Amino acid sequence: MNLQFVPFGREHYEAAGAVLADMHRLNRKREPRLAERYEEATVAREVIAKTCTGPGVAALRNGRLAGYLVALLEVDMERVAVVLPSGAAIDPGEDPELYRQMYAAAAERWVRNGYFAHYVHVASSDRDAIRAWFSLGFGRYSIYNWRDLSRAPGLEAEVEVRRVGADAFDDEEKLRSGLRRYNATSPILHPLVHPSRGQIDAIFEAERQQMADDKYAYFIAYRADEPAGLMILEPPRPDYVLTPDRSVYLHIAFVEDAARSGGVGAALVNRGLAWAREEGYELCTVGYFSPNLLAARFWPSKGFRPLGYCLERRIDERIAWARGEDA
Amino acid sequence: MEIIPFAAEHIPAAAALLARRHAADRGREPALPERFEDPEECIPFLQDLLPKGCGVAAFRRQGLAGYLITVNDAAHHAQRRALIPLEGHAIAAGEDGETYREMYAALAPALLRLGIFDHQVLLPVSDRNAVEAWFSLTFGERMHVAGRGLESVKGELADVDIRLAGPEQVEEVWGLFAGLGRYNTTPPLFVPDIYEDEAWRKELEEDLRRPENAFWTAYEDGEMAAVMYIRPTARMVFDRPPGTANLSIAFARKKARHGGFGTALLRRCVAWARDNGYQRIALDYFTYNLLGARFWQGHGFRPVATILQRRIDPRIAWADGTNE
Repeated sequence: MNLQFVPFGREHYEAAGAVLADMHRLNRKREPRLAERYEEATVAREVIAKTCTGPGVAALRNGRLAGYLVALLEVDMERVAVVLPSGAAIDPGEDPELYRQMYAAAAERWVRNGYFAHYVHVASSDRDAIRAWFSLGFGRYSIYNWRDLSRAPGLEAEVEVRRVGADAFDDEEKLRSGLRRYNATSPILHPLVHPSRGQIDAIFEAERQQMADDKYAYFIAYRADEPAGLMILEPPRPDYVLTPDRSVYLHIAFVEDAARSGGVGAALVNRGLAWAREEGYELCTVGYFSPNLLAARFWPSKGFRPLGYCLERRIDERIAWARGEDA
Repeated sequence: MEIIPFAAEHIPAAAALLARRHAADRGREPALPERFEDPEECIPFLQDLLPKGCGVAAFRRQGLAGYLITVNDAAHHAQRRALIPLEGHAIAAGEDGETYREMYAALAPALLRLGIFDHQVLLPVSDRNAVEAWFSLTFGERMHVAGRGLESVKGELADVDIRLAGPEQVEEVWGLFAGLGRYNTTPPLFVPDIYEDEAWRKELEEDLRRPENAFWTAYEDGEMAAVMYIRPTARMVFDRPPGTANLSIAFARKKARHGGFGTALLRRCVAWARDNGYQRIALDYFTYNLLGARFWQGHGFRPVATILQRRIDPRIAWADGTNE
């Protein structure tokens, strides 16, 4: 059967919407918490039109769309190619080998343009897709989880948890800075690269505005009036097809080293979940880095279960020049 | 659990864990060598390993809970790399993948201090818990170590001129090796091609001279178009059953692919292995080599072990949060 890879474009949106909807239906059979609406091809098509704007490929088998793979190319602290959950899908009748073939066809352009760090978001229940990406050199980078809003198990510390506004920015930033330093430790090992002064000012200003916005909830746990832990809840990321309906996103959680293992995290979680209940949410989602040993213990112990994974492959950058032409 | 640097005095206890793990591996993969179920047989391998890299030993009250030891090398494509070989890791009964995660957390900073950002681990494919633990540490698959018996090779054969190459064909064989290096740079392999060392060429010439090696080559229109290099396994290793010949290099130029050249060469290699008293053939291939994986698996090679890799962003060397 003829298999052809062509650049992904608007002309593929409709067929891609149908493929994504079919794949989502399968994922939802395994994980019913996923949102039902993406089983509709028209809804899936709209999401693709919004999120699949970067370079990618469409796989055509005998002229019919068998799958597609599209990355968003982002430039932040480094150049990264990100495949969102709506950025890759194959027809349920296709062999997962198609993911490998699509990646081979699409990634050449990403690498040629200096995007050596590749990220792929997949449903955690889609074992075939995960297996295919694993065989392409991708390891698990982060885990996206959900739970309901009932009280989380475990002892809570007797700490004062305050919902704070922009006037607590200094405390918030101190804790965020602690989180960034923690994420640089082994085995997470994410470089702590500071933006320029101008960028920092812009980030801080945006943060202050968000702290003053009622849609966001910033909680800080204080021990002896000193900030010991931080939790930020916010509206869900739009068009992220692994997000369940009526769920709040727990964006950041961090407890200072000296205050860990004493129930500060549990106190923050329960305060956050109570706020989410009051706001009319029904579920809570949270992401954490897969190699984060403490988080990997904490979140499952609080009843969070995986919905999705983000996988990472870092290409050896010497591929930019070591292509064997002079060998 | 207390995790400390691995030292010579930990070898006997580590050998016991290794022998236990190997017995479990062998329970799932009976073709593996039996001798490493005996801790005494494992001890020399650990003694040999220890000076080659870094290691950690994890202790609980009951004794050694697990260990990791790396082989650090700087010769692999001129990049520093740490590989934990099959004999470089084991955990005690009752331990789980979390023990691997904790040991790696303790080990990684020592590797980073040496400028080693390319971390690899060789695991039995059948040890799903270990594979899952390393996957959760952002390790992805890099290579399969696979093997097959000497049953006949099925598939279409090209009507092809196959010859055994000797040292006088070094230039032609080197040309195919260079072609393989270039092929490995293509997506989705993206393996940099850095073969600028003249020593490699000399090594090839010596390998071509050795009577125990066989470089089977296929010709098309009078030109060498494909090669398969088979040789004895260098030493008894944990993933190669006794009597295993090693298929070291295989490559076909583009025009010689899909035409039965590979199948014809493999058939010749299998016959050579049989004639030379071997019972099996093993090889390794990049899991992200789409053509290679399809070819080898299609010809009955079954993965026994897998090399996983994590490439750490090297900026962690200076952006580790201590300079804020």
